[in-house]
Amino acid sequence: MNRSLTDRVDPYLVSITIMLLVVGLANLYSASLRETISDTPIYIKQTYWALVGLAAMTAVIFIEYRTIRRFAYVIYGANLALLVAVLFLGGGAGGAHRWFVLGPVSFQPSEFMKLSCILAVSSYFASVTGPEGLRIRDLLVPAAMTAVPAALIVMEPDLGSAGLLVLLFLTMICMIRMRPRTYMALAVTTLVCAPPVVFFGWRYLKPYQRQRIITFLNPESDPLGSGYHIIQSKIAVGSGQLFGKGYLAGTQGQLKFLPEQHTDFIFSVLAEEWGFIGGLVFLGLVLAYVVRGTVISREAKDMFTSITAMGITVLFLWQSFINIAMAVGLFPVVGIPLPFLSYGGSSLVTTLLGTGMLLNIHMRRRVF
Amino acid sequence: MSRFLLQRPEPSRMIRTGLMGVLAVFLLISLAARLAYLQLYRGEEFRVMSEDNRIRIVKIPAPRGMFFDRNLEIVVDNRPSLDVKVAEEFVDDLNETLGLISSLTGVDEATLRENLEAERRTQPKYRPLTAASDLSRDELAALMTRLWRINGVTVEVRPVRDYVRGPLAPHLFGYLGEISDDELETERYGGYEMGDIIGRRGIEETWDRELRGVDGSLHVEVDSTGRELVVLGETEAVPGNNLVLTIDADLQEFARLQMEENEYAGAVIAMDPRTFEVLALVSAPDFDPSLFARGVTGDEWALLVTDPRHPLENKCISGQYPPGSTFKIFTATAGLEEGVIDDETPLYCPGYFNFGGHSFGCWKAGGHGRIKLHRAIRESCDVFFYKTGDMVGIDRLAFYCSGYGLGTLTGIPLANEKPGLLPSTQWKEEYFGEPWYPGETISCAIGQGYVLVTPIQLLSAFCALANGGTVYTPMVVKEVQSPEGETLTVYEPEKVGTVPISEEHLEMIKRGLYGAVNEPGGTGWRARVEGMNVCGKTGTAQVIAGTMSSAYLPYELRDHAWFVCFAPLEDPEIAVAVLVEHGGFGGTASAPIAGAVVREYFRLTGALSDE
Repeated sequence: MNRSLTDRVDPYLVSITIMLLVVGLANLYSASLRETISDTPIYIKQTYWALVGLAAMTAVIFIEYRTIRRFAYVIYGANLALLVAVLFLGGGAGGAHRWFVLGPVSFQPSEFMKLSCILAVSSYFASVTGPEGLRIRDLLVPAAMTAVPAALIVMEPDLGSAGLLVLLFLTMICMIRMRPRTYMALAVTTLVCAPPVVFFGWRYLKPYQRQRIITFLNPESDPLGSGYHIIQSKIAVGSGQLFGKGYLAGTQGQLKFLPEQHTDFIFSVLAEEWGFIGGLVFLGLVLAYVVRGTVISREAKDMFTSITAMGITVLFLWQSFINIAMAVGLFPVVGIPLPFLSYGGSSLVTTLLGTGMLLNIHMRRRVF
Repeated sequence: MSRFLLQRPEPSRMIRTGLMGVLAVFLLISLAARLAYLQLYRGEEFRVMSEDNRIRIVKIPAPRGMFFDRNLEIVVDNRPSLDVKVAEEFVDDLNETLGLISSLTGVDEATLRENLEAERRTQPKYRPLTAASDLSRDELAALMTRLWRINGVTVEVRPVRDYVRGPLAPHLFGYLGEISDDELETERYGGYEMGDIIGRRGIEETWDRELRGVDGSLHVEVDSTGRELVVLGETEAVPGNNLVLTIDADLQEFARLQMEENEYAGAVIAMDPRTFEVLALVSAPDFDPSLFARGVTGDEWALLVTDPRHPLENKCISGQYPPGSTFKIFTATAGLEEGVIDDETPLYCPGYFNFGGHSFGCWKAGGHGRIKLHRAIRESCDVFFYKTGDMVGIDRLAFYCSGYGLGTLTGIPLANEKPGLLPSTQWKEEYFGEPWYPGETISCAIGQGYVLVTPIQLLSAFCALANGGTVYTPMVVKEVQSPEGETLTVYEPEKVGTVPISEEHLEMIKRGLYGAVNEPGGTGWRARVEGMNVCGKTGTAQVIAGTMSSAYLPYELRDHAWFVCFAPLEDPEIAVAVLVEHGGFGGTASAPIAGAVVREYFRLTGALSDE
């Protein structure tokens, strides 16, 4: 059985994944070339994480998806517990509680929550969807499933990841068939709720978060303060021009004018060194990944796997989009990692686990 | 039921996957469009910005031009000063960093903090501040080896003035300082930049454009912490031009010591009456110009500006004093030219002169009796000149004085020259809105009252007398030379005007001055020089009106002592003015100094032997 299964591993998605991994590690090498803060160079650390992630991905392939579905709520529950625990036990920069630090390794439960949430929500939707589509009350439980971890993540505080979870949920329900009344109810709710949410939301934001939004709207207002990141990133990207400055030769990145260049602004390093051509190639890889994910979702054997595949793909798409949009000044700085490129073990392992799930689903697709 | 449903092809899948495709394409195309906008449309602009980002232009200060004295001896040179700079925005923990600097260089931490505090007040933002300046190589050795590990700290080399002969002529040379924001705005400093070091006062200020040269620059690649990585290119600095001054360093030093040893405050100027080249220019007390070279501290500055004897003021050109009896040569000129007296006109001095119910006393209580011009100058008879001045009137007196250059700037090319004050009826009308009272002419005639002169003005007037009546602009610089020693500019004497006096009358006054020094009863006998015919005039300028002898007054109320002379009588080649503030009688305090300077001058030229 395993033999025939492995024959059916999607070669496209595997190739795309390998290419993205290679690009990511090579780019991280450049970004951290002159970094001397930690003893182990961070591209080495990231390579270890990539190996861990690949192992996890391979392991996931062999797990029967029904088993995964059976444990979906358990995984979700466990992850929720971790999110609560991290608020009390976690560490992080500037009074934040985002990571568990275990010796040299730190891990971020909010990253895994993205995947756990997809599984739980998919499982629920798969069990309630009828031929006519979702009823309004069918949305309540998944909404809560998203809202609770989102609220916990906000408390870390990590507004970006929390927002991403909500965005993921909204995108997923839009892509699942709903009854017309459900669509209408959603539309009305959105219209009614949006203004107060924006109003009170703004008041709830911490000053630095408001500042980020103000800065995003007008970066020149504070070029050496909070506008610095955006301006330097735009300079890095723009100065890459058509062909880039060459690998390891990006001055913005190499001379550390780029802030957070291993994580939030990793794309700027790539765009500076490889130019417009390199940027397009990378966007092409992202598109290819999304297309494969879409195909896998369409060909999936059942509702659960189809929605799961879609969720993973949407997650990948939104993360890529938001991170890049941030680096090119189209989106406020929110701290969403770029899959495969940003430094961070939890993020990379989560992405590879998701990829493993896609491969798993593809192997067990319907065969016509 | 659910099992059955799950097995069925699901109708919404096509919609869902279609939507996903649309979303993906839309999002990615918008990113690609943004990339095209940033990288292709505005790429050039951002490329330039990124170049600016990584290249820092470090100024290499041009060596400032040197000063030579008239015998081409170097009197002002440059030497490197090693400064420790702190760029606070790159420092993680200022206390820790300062502690480190202190332990490595041995400079007290409180001093470092004080320096930074002072710099912070004066320096614009985002520029490294000087924590310690002019450290020796030994002091810096330990810091230099660890510098690469300390964020935000650099050591910079700054050329500073090296005063080869110490505080030889700080007022003449001037000093250096950083250009201020206000100065940057002015037309005079067009083309200057923030942080430029400019000359202040003296020759440094006047010839700043010649002296400063052209700064070079170093194009250095830096990272965002400001750490310098690689030098990409260098534009060499062009040194400033050198100046050959008119002063004689040895004579200058001699004159300076005369004042210093006597602890006098005042001025000594020596000038060649033929060309108006300044041979020595001393303002006492002086200050140590190397204080400014290494950066004067707040305390030192406070001490300098609060000193009641004003060491920073150049008394030679900025000090305005009543000329006292030295003024009598002007009254004599006016009297002779207006024809109210000649050398044979006898006037009677009973020891006082009554005018308008007021009695003006002669310094000699018993009076000089019947007295003529020659003796009146020699013995400085007050009553003779009261009467002459009264006959001439203030406006004619002022006319001849202005012919000698009083009441206006001499034009010596040094900043802060003061014009003195030459009163006239018109002046009084404009200044006080009152008519001139004839009684006021009486005190003016002997250099009291409203009249004020600067030492350089008075010396210029005596020089004009000595050279036959021509007034030139005093010169302090003879030549501008390129760093290679090529002569670029030669300054020639510039004639300002002629004293309206006949040759004959000039001779009469000169002979009077000769008598004052060399004949029995002359007031300036202390300036006598063996083997040289010195001509001079004493002056005692009252600080307060009164007849009490100076020695009984507190220092600040004592009279100023003047002596102005030239030599030799036959063909004058040096003129010297000495003013000793609150020095009492001119013949006592100032004449010996003037005589000594004259003697030293001729000793240096070889006209007089050493003993």
